[in-house]
Amino acid sequence: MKVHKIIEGCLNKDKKSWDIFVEKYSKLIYWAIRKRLSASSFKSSQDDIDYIFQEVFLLILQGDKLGQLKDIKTIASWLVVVASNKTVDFIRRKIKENEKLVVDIPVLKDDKFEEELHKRDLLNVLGNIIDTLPNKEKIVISFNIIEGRTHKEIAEITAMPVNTVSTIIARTKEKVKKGLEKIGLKDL
Amino acid sequence: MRKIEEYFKNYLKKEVSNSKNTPQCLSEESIIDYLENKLDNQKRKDIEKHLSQCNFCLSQLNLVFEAKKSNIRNIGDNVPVRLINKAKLLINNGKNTIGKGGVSRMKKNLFLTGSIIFFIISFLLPKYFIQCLVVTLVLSVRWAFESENGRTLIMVFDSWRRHSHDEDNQVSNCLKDRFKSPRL
Repeated sequence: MKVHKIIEGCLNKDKKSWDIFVEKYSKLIYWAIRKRLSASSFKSSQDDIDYIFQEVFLLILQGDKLGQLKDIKTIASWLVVVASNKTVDFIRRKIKENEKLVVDIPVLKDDKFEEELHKRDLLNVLGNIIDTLPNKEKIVISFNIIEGRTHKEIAEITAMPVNTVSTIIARTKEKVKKGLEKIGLKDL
Repeated sequence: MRKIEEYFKNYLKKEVSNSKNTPQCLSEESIIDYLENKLDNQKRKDIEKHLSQCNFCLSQLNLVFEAKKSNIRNIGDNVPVRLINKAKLLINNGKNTIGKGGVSRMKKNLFLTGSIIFFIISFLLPKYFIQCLVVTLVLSVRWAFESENGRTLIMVFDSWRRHSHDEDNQVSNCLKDRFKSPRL
């Protein structure tokens, strides 16, 4: 059965099409949920994964969610985003329920006070440097540092030449180094 | 420099954890279109402006890229069978009964239409009047039993038949008393 037939069947609430759809995209949705959960600092259980998994399929089945898909060729990518959004909603809801913050602000203890202060200085410098970067450079450096993407991959995502990406990364790192030297941090 | 990168990474990761999706965040389509390089320059710039300020959308973009890169069709671990079966059942549970319901609704209307047609035919073909009338009766009974109204009527009749009339008499006596009382 072709993808557009499956989608059409699912929109018409056809049981056979739905079964094929679930079989076909379960793995991808499951992967996206787990990936999103592992990227956050939220401690999740298998029950949480099971719950989100069902929620994603329910969201797709109910209402007009599947009807919002413009290009059937991109359904897999679309499902990844839908599953990821649903996971983030779940995390947020759970955090609200538990009244707990994702990132705990550390309590400063006497012996660690200087170390923390030093770290915070460093983070302020990094923050200031990132804020001064142009939009595209900020995206490039974020992909490189946070997600660990290679220069080639970033070039693919941002549709920029690899050389440009490499130059941006080298230049930004140099800026960071100089910024840190200004506040007397040379030995890092 | 490695330590700087580590701090840099921690800083940006912290930003991601604190980031929230806002109404201005990119839609599913925008993220995909950006990655597929389907956008014009202006739209692309707008998205990049948002991506530079929103770590949430940046991480969404990264996730889709990773899925595409790892061959989207064969991605991921095996999903527990019980989860797949449960998801399949979503179309049949109380929330979504359109699948089978649509067919049974058609069937019910078929009985009704059939009974009307045979009723008309019984007058058109006097030779088969009795036969057609019997078919009409059978189809009507089927329709009455299949339709919800018919079932409700049967239930009401059944409960009325089984119900003891003591309570009814009690209620009617109470009402009679009230009407007779001087207060009213």
